[in-house]
Formats: sequence, structure tokens, C-alpha cells
Amino acid sequence: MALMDAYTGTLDEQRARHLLRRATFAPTTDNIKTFTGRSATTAITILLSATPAPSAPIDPTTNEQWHNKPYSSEKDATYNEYLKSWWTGLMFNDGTSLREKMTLFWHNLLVSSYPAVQDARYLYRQNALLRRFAFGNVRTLLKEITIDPAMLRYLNGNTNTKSAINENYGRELQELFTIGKGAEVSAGNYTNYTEQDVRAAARVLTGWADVAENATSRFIPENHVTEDKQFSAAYQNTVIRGRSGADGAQETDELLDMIFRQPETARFFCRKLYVWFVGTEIDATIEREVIGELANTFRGSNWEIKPVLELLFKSQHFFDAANMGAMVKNPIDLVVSTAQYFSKYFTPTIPSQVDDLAGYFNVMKWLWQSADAQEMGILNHPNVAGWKAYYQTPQFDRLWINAATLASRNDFTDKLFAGFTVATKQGMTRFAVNSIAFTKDVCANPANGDDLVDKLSIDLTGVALTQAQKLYLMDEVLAPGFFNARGAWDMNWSFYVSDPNNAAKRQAVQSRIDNVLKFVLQMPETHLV
Amino acid sequence: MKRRDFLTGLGSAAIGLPLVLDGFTTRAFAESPTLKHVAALAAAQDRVLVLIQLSGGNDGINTLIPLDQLSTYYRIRQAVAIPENRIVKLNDATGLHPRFAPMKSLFDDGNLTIVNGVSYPTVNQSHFRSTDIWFTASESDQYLSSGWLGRFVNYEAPNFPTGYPNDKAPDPLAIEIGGAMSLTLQGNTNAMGMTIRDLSAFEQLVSGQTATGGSVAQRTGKAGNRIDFIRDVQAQSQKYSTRIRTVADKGRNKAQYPDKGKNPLADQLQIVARLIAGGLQTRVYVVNLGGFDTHWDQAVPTDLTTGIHANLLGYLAEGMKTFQQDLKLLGLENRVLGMTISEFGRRPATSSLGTDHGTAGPMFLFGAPVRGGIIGKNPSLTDLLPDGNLKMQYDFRQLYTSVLSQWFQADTQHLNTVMMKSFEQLPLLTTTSVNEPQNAFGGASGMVIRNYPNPCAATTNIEYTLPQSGMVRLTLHDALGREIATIGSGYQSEGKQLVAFDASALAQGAYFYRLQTERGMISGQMNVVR
Repeated sequence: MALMDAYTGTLDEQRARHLLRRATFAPTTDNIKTFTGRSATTAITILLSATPAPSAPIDPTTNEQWHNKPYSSEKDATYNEYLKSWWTGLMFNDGTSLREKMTLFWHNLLVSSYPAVQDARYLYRQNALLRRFAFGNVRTLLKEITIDPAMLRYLNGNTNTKSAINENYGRELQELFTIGKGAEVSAGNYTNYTEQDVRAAARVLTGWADVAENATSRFIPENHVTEDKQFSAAYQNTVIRGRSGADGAQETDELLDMIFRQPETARFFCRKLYVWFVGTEIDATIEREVIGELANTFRGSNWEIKPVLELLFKSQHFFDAANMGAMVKNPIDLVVSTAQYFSKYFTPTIPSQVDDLAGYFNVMKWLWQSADAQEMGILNHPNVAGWKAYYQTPQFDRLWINAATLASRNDFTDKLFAGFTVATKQGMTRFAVNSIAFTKDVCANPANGDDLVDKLSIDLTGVALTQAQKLYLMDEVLAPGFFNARGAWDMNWSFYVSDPNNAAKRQAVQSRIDNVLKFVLQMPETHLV
Repeated sequence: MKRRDFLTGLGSAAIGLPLVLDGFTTRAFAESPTLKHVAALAAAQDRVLVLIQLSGGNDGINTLIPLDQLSTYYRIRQAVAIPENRIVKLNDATGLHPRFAPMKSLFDDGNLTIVNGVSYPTVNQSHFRSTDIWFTASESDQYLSSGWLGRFVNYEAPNFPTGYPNDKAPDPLAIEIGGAMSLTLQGNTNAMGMTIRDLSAFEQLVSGQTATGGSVAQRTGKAGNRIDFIRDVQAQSQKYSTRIRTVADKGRNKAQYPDKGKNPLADQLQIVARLIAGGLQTRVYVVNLGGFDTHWDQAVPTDLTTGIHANLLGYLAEGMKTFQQDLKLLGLENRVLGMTISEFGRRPATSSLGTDHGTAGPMFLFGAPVRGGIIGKNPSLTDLLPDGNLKMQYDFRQLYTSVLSQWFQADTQHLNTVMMKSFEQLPLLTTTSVNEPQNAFGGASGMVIRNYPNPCAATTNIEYTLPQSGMVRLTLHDALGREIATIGSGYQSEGKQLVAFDASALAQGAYFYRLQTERGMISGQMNVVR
């Protein structure tokens, strides 16, 4: 069996859960049920189906869009918050689509951050670009991002002129965005490219500038180096012929074509996808059988990413039990997916964008701020290499977990039940999960404590709990301190059912269910995806 | 010469007053200056290193301005050059960026050592690769997955985290202030440090039960590995959190730090000082100041003394200086050494409004333990590498080795384990190494010295064989290598010699004895245990 052979059976519950947890922000009990019994092909078709582009974010204080207006130094930081809330909302509402996880993937690969770019309009534009290419052509995306105004600012492409070469983008384009660095075989020679290529690429890229008036970019021929650019043997000694006038811009296309001609470039992107969606450990077998296969498909499709994603998500390797729960869940996934998981059960209901956009944005802001506290801020990467968990050996995804972030993760999940407070049009509003309503939906007979803890936890953990752990949940968390825990629980539940409007009886069961959910959400198994 | 005559010094001076030293009762010498040394040595385990990472690649040439090359400086650095009348003179050859000027008083007080031109052979100009090289102390073409401080700590705690914390090591072995743990503190298999963002957030750590859920099932594979990892972090957090909370409550800063949020480095150093003051026994702290990747906007064209780099140097100088003041007021200054690192310097010739990635840069060591002064010369702005970058004067691993040896008293085997090869040390600190320079042993080759019993409680015998008769001197040293006493000196005959030594007056701990002969010097280690 080759690793990349298609999984041809129908999805059982475990595989449906795994696919939805990895590919979407909505691995809810309902969606897992819907996907169970489907073929992998059908499931992936749903994940990859086109969705309409969202309309641009609105300023809830004016009900107007702001991305097409002049820059406002006064309001820009607020716009950036709206942008993040808008984007978080897209993730939160993405349903069974792969689009937003791919958009976030591109954001982590083609990084730009607000502290460096300092213009929310630019970042909106870049974000829309990444989303447009979520399942699109990667070579075209790289051409677009190279002259994207936010990127021109972020990596100083806008200051790279013939009189003052700035190598920043020319270097990161190769090191971090397309081909990657191989072993340093001699001084300045990183196998896949050399310092000479960094300088040559920087010269090719001279002349681009952002245009602040309308958040676009343009090519200024007078700033362009018109001499020929000689690349090293790593690029087959390619010479990009110097062009003058407006034609100078074409050299950028030639540069990207040259980079995309290299077999290593295809492998680079496929490794990034693998690390994002499957697992952070790439051994020789995976490199050969998985990355190699994906890269072949990628080149064969003329750099379309969709066939690569189809191949990956349908593969037996993706559904291998050894890959289930094999990564620490990243903070954005944690906050968005967990909030989405319980979204139907919040009291009061989370405001809709139509009724109360400001309130809705504030809930979304609580989500992205929680992810910030767990060291994964959107539009706020620590540096151009993206989040460390996706490249830093040997810890990789384990880097999401340390004493500080673990406390923040637990703080977030606890607050879903203890309540979090944000401003809505009703004033300061405290939202909390109604865990009894949730319980009734996921468990047919909550009076049976053993069945209850199983149903409360099964769709939350990345790895199934052991029997011993479920017994612990029953005996020590649901009904601790009772000689006969099952009997005590059964009795309390029946008290509540017989008198559901009695606050004390309701409280007795709800607080215990909350305890189980809070505990499960802190278990190591739940931090895995 | 009779042995009775030979045995002068320590043993006979003992008069046996009890003294409580580091928790152990021992007999000691009344008013003996020697005892102060012995007491100081007990504090050796209390030494702290604070590593300040300047992320992005600091522009050394605008931090320390070469006054001896100003015409070149102004010619090639137009975009960022500091006007001559704004440069703060450190000495005749070197000036400071005006925002870095607070460092002058530290320098004048002998609390700052500058090492010029620090780098490594064949600099990799990728931030990430070069940072990894600095963190792991690897060769340019060598890929290591553990950090130098992680290995240093791991050597002393090979089983960590199993069995930690314990009575002897109640505190985290290393602490990084900030978000994610850097590679610096990665040990051979485990992260050796713990991450603290700020103390108030830390206090919210999970209290009560640990969410593992009953008997822990052994799981295998990638998921099992991660479950074990998260459990470890949970368990460590639980164990250390109470202790850190107690320590943080007890520790008080005495210097006036900038308001919170005004200086990101000072905020972190304030936490470090508070934890040390509160009695945390952690020996390694890592803090971070980012933003040095100044390709653009390094300086504001209308006033080149302002801008991103100026602000960062301001943070750095103010942070280091306030921290040092705090340590002094707290009476901790002799226990704490600070050191800066940055993945590379920046190119001498400027680009547009900033500087591109470069090679060598200065490193700063600060605190009361440093010797002070400048090691190395100003980097030449004209005698450059073929790519236009500065030439290296010192390998950063020489500094690491010097710090581990001179500050933490790492022995040769420990150093070899951490650094993987031997690097020539630099005279950075007033404390000296326990390690003799390699060549000092040359003349004494073939000679062996030992003591028995070892460990000892009271009397022990130091035995050695002299290949020829001659003048000898046998001395006792503390764990820092400082001479405590002369055990004996004079003429001895060829052949086996046995010197009885009474260690009953020494506090528990490690000591060294050294025999100086005409053929060279040998030394041995004596452990006093009761």
C-alpha cells in the first residue's frame, strides 16, 4: 500500500472527526454526524467547494466600509481591530469549508504584520488576496504577493531602488516563501540558492512601490536596475535580461518563473502543507512517498493547489490512525473551533452581524485576543518566518504549550462556562454556555453518568479517552465524593428533570456538567488535533 | 624538612567555632578572612546569568561608533550616521550612540565589558539560521537541536524533568521571560526552562487538580508523545507555580523602573530582579528585545539620532542600567552577570534608510562581576570581507565558554559537553576559571595527585609522586579557583609524598588543591561532605 493511495471506504465517525478537525473550524457533533458514512471524495468536494468572497469589513460606528477610503491615522488602529474581528468571524462561520484554514495557512507562510505595515487597508487587501487564492494557483499568488502593497512595506520592497538596494524581500522570497534554504555547502551557498541570488533577486525587484492613496502598488521604472541579473548555478546560471521603462516589471515575472522551475520549489510548498495539515515530523519515508507524490501533482497541475489538497486529504496516509491527534492544536484553532463547537448553546445568543455588528465584533475580538494571549496573534506574527510551531525543530507544535500558554488556554476554555463579558447593544453582556442544553443534544440519556461523560468528551478530544479516564471523569469529576457516584448522579439528574424550573436543582447538575466539560477541555488529549 | 614543618596554614589555624553556612552547620575559623572565601564559595551555586537576546541583528557600528574612522563612517553610512557633535565619547577611539549614553557610567564604573567583532566563521545571513547558530552554539554548517544553555543545565540535571523539583533544586532550572521558549534552553530531549510572561498572568496558573484524568494510560506514537509532553508541562507548572508565587510576593524591586509598557526590556528585567531578590534559585534567565532588523527607518532622516534603532538602544541602555541599579540596591550585584547576544551585526554600507544583514557585532557583558573595559579593537570599516561585511575578531563561542567556565565554574568535561570543542577563553570576569589552561599541565605530565578518603569529612591524605626533588607549593582553592590557603611549601624529595590535611574546618562543598612544582602544576578536587 502506498501512503498516497486514496482511502476508498466511507468515513466512519473517527475519520470524519479527524478530517473536520484538521480541515475546518467546525468539527461540531452535527457536522461529524453529517460527514460520517460519506466517501472521502464527497467529503473533500464539500471542503473544497467555492464560496462567495465575503464583503469587506464595515465600521460598526458608521456602517460604512473603510478599506476604500483614505488612510486615517486616527482610526487605523481601530480598523485593524475590525479587520481581525471580521476575519475571526469568517473563520468562526466557515462551516465545513477548507477556505479559512487555507487562508490562515497562507497568512503564516506569506507573513505581514500590522505593527510593521501600519495600515489596515493594506492588510485587508492582502487578506482578501490570500483568501482569493485559498485553493488557487500558487505561482500567480506569489506574483501577486510580491507586489502586494502590504508586503512591499513589510519586507521593504518599497525602498528597494537602484540607488539603494534593499535585499530583504529578495532574500525572504527565496528563503521563506518559495524554495527554502538547503544545507550551506560553502560560504553563502545554501544549495537551493546563494547570496549572489539574493543580490540578483533584489536587483530584479527594484522599482516597486506602494501607493498609499489607494492602497495599491506600482512600478517606477526610474528606480529599476536595468542591467542584466546573473544568477548562480543553483538556478542554472540563469540571466534575467535587464529591461528598461515599464518593461522592467516583467523581470519580476521572470524571477518567479525561474524559481518555480526548480523542483525543490514544489517540494517546499508541499512540506509546508504537510506540516500545517498532517504532522510536523517529516521523515525520509514521508519525504519520499508523500512530499514527492504531492510535488509531482503540484508540478503536473501547473501550480494549482487544489489537486494537491485533494490528493492529500483523500490519502490513506492522512487517515492513518497514527496521525490522529498527532499535533498540538494551535491557539486560533482552539479558540475558534471550541467556541464554534458550543456556539448554538450560548446564553444569551451570540449577536448576529445584522442586528448588532459591534456586539458581534466584540465577541470575535474576545476570541482573537484569547489566541493572542496564547501566543498566536493574527496580523501580529513574531517575525517573517511565521509562528515558530511550524518550523522550529525539535519542538514544533509542542511550542504552543508552556506554563504561560497552558494557563491562558485553560483560562479561555474555563470562561466559556464561567462566562465572558463583552459590550453589546444590550450593554455589558455576559455570555456562557448553557451546558444542559448542550447535554440534551449530545446525550440521549444523561441520567447514565458513564454514558454522559463519554458523550460530553468524545468530539472534543483529539485522541479517544481510555476507559480509566472516563471512569475518572465519572467518579472524580462528575460526582466526586459520593460512595455511589452513579446513583448520586442519576438521582440529581432526575430531581432536575422532574422540576426543571427549580434553580437549585438545575444548578446542581449544570455545575457538575460544567466541571466535566472544563476538565475535559484541559486534558492533554483535548489539546491535540 | 619535617612533615610537621611542612604542614602549616589551614589545619593548625582551625579553632572550631560553629557557624551556620548555607544551611549546614560547620566549624569555622574565627574572624578568618579565609572563611569569607569559603562562605563565598558556598554562594557559587547562586550565580545567575541573564541573557538578553537582541533579535533581528543589532547594528553594532551605530551602537559603538568608531571615532578613529569617522571620515569613512560618514562616507558609507549617510542614511544612519550620527552627527559628530551628538556622539557620546566613551574613550578616545570609541563613541556611543546618544541613546546608548547611559552605558557610559556603567562602563566608567567597571561594570561593562565590551567585546568587539564577535561573530563566527562563515556567517549565515538568514535570521533564523543565524539565530539557531547562536542559540545552539553550532558550527555554521552543523545542525543541532539543543541550545547551549539547555545543554549546560541538562548536564547538571540529566534526568530532568523526572524527579524535579526536589529539595536541592526547588526552582525552575532556567526561565525565559516571554511567549515561546527559545532554542537556547532546549536540552538534549526536554526543554530545560519554563516560560513566564508576566507575574500577574502567572498567578492565574491552573490551581488544584491536574487535568490528566486518573491513572495515566501509557500511549504511544506521536499523539502519545504529545500527551506526555503536555502532562509534564502541567505537572511542572503545578509544582513550580506555588513556589514562584511565594518568591514573587517576597521579592521587591528597589530601583525605579520605567512604567510598565514603556520599555519592553526593562519590564522583563524587572521580573528577573524580583525573582532573584525573592530568593528563586534559578541560575539562567533569558529575556528578549526584538526589532533590530532595521532595513528601513533605522533612523529618521530629519534627525538621525532618532528612529527605530535609537529607541531600541534607549530600551537596552535604560533596561541594563536600571537593572544594575536595582541589583546594587538589593545587594545582589555580585551574584548576577548579564550578557547580550544578537544573531549578526549589520552591513557597514547603508541601504536606503537602513542597513542590511551583516556579520560581526559587539557583545556586552555587564554587572559587578565583569572586569570592565573593551576587548578587541574597533571593527575596520575598510578592511572588509569580500561581501562588504565586517571581519570577525572573536568567536561568540569563546564568550560562551568563558562565561560557563569563569562564571559557572564548569569543568573541562562539562564545557566539552556543552560546547563540543574547546575555545580559547577571554578575560571577561573578575572571577576565574577552575580550569587550568591546557598548557599548564604540560610540564607536569605523568604526575598524578589524589586525596583519600574523598569525599572526606575531616582528615584526608593528599598523595603525589615527584619525579625529581625540588621546591614545591601545595595550595587550597575554592570552587571558583581562588586560593584559600597554603597547605605547605618548601623543598621536597623525589618520590611519593603524603600530606595529611584536616578539612574539618571547611564548609561542605568542592575544593581544589594545586601542586606547583618546577616541572609544572597539577591539581585535584576534594569534596567535603558531612
